[in-house]
Amino acid sequence: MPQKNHFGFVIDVSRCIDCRACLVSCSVENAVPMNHTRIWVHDLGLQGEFPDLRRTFIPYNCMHCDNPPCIQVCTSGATYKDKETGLVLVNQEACIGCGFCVEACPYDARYLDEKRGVVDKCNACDQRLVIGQKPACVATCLGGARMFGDLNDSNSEAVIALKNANSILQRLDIEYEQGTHTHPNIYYINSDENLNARLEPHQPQYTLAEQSWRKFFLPAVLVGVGATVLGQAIMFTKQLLQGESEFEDR
Amino acid sequence: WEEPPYPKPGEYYLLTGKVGQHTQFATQNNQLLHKYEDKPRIWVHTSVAKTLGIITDDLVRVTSLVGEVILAALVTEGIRPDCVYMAPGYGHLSKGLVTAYAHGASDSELHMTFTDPISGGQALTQTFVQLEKA
Repeated sequence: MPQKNHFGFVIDVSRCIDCRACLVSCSVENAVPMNHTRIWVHDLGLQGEFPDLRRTFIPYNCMHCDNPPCIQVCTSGATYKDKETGLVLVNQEACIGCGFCVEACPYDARYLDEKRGVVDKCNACDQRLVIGQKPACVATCLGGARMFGDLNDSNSEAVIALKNANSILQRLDIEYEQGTHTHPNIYYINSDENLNARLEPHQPQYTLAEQSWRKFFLPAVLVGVGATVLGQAIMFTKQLLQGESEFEDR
Repeated sequence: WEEPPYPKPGEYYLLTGKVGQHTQFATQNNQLLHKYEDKPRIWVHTSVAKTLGIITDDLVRVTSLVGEVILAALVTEGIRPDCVYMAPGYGHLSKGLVTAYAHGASDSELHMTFTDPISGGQALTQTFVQLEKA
């Protein structure tokens, strides 16, 4: 891994009871607006017939992907992958609130904060990480379904949970361009369901504005600037070689 | 031993329980818990819903001998066909509870009082209700 740490979540699906304490604690810790949420518990619904029933809950939030589609569409460079921690973060000073990343996220893990005019998302509570605490959702989880840690550190809670898992590890990985996978950093353990097929992350959606910016206006601007620079350079060289004649007194 | 009463055809046991997001009847006005809770609904088994002709989120009139409430239905396999379940703690009457006021319905309006002659406990599953599409 290129970065120093490689933080990721491990979620034990068999332990989630859908109490939503993580959603509440996240909202409190990060002052999330009342009409938005940063994390979710997805209910796969009741399966089977009474009385042979089963039900699975999938907690999820930003997957802090290794190849995030959201970074590619960011026009202002506000969304970045942190070099120290490997988390996908938003620099809200730089964010212009265009919302392209909200559409591009395959997991719908971002929202546009209309009041502040910036995009917001799970930041793995990096304000808590720097003082040595776990993210609020992990600290609150009643059943211990949510775990968090450095995936490069073999002693972290997350890696130990991965080693002791009773099932295959699952990620909600999708291929969104030829040969490019998102490589999300939430690992699901202890579930015999095919979570990727059940939760259905969608392909990144690119809005018309985003596409016209990336495919037409951005190249046009680059061509325009390039042509100007080139013209200036040609004239400057010409002037150097021939010497200035136009404005000199005869 | 006394044989407990059983519901007649067309009547259902009224069950109540607890909601994972709330503490008893005290926290319904908390906006954060309100934000993340499920909508309070009455659970009806799929086969019963078919005979009544209701689907999820249809309003249902629930009638017992002592009262009646109107509440949205949740059609589910997760309940016995002879029972209905109401999430308790809703249907607050005080207008001061801005968030909780008139949200959901109260199961207390339906419950009849049956006291266990030995322990004095309340028999909370001995009330039978009838359902109809509102």
